[in-house]
Amino acid sequence: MSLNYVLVINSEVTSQGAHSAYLFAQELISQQHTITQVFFYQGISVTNSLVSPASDETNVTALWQTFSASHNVPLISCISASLRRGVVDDTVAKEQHLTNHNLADGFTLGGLGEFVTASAGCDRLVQF
Amino acid sequence: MKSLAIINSTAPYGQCNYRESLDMLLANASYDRPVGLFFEGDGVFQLLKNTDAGLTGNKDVTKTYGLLELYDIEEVFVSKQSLLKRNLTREQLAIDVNVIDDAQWFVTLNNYNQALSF
Repeated sequence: MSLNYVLVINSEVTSQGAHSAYLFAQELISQQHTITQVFFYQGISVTNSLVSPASDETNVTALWQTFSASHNVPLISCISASLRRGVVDDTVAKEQHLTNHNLADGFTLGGLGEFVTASAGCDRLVQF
Repeated sequence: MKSLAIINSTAPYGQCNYRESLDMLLANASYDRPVGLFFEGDGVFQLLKNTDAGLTGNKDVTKTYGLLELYDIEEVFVSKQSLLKRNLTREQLAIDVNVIDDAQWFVTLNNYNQALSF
């Protein structure tokens, strides 16, 4: 039976949770499940384009970008949590008069309402 | 619309869990989604009255908890064992809550379709 999943990422890019979530998401797709949304709430560091791990370490941000592009899964990053942690896109940077923007490609800023709408109707909500 | 339980198990102010859990709770409630709020472990410290959060550079979370009724959030549960272990009583909490024991805890949580932990 195919189920609709929403994943919540509360794990930082340096913690195993961020990578485990990616592995879980991959497995869901391989088992023909649907992922309506991956919502980055407290794990905002995963969405930071300036994250540059050493070449022999896993780049979790890059894994998510490729995953999202290959399987058309939206990566939504909570806007208030992002602002609090210093990750913004071009539009928000202008609004807030910030000199730079650093939201990684493939991620989109969104409100908690987008998460509520997606999760209230999904079959499974899984937090990492 | 699936119901959602939000479980708080960390003390306030050391991390921003308390605030982001509250944002999550209120966002869901504002969409009229059925929500339940649970406190266990060090999370029970979030409910203590007579705290002065301003000393830590934070806003007092209990003031917002006092407004839960305005959002029609009436399902608030606190672990009896967690209070006991910390030598706390219901009288020391800032809001009215349902104090439940471990057996009721899991039965009550099971009434919700989904859960998020902070």
